[in-house]
Amino acid sequence: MRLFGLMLAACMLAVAAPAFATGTVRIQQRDGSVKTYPSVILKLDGSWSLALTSADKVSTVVLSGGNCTPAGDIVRCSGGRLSFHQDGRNHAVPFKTATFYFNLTDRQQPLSSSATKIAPNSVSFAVTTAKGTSLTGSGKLDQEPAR
Amino acid sequence: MRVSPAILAVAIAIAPSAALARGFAMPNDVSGGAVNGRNGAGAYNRNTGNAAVYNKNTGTATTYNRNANTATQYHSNTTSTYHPSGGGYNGPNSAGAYNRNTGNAAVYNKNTGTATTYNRSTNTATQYHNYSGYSNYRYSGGRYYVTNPRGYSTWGWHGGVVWAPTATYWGGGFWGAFAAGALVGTAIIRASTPSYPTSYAVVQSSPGFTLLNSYGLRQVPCGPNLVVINYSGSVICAAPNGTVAPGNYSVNLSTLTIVSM
Repeated sequence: MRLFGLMLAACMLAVAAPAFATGTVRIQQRDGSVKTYPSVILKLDGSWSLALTSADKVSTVVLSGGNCTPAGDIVRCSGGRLSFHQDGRNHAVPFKTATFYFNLTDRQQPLSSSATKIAPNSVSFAVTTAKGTSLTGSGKLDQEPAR
Repeated sequence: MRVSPAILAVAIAIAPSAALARGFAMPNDVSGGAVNGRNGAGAYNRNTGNAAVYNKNTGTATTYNRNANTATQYHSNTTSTYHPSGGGYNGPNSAGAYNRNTGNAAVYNKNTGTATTYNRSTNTATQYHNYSGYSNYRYSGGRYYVTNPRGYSTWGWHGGVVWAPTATYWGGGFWGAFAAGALVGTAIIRASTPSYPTSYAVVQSSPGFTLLNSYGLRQVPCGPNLVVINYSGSVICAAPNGTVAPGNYSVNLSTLTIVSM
């Protein structure tokens, strides 16, 4: 019985691994309704393409091809392409503004001209789509490009 | 049976994520377009290519299924499916509906992948495109801008020098120096049917040729389901490719960018 309990716990831990992701995404629809998504998986690749995957892994929002410039120890990315992947389909999402701040250092970094601080190895972002949907969020990166 | 505290703790930890709805909700950004009127509503799904219109006065709903190429009208008691060869159908390539009470209408065209809605109250027509597979399309201010693959800076395609049209030429000379009415030395690209415009062969050294070449487009006689580029009263047609979808476009001269009309 004890062995079964341990095996069950191990299986649940394996399934629950994404739940340890710390990303949070807040989506506000144009009608004002808001929903906050915890445990979002945040993956950054070497071309500054950031993938936000919902905790249930059903959908992923990807920002890629943006203009990324260093500002001190922070890297600021804007523009690029925004896409939404779900159920095997890929949707391009036109947007008005998209700004991402990456802190790939091991120390907390302040944003210039702002009281906002970005935690180590983390991202903070704000996107407004052409349809008026607002995505904001932050969290520790679950995957970073090799340095 | 006693439940281990460790198992209980793990189960509680994963409970919030398990209870979430499926994925992120962005219904306004990943569906097609919709228009609502007092007596009806129309919607187009740009992902599936299907369209539907509902009229509350007649109690009917008409749906168009792109895969089956059929339009189905749902009444309160009966259902009728119309095939291209049948009646009550708008044509082999489209489905449409008109609400006589509101004067609003919606039409779906499977060839262009567009749905057009008309709102009588505001006297506006809104066209919803299916550009999901085209990475160069950027939506801004109600229009789609198709980024030129060459990425020209302002007037960069003309060596940084402003290019000005010549009023006496067809299309201002954008497609080449065609003297109005004098077609000597130029080839006429005849339309495949009388309902489509006749245009002239684009001259290789012209700005229009640079435009077509930069998008990888090849000029063809005007007809259905083509890229139609309008400039200063002139029309050029080209075969669509992986960068440019069928449809009507105008030209942003300074960056040599085409804009969906």
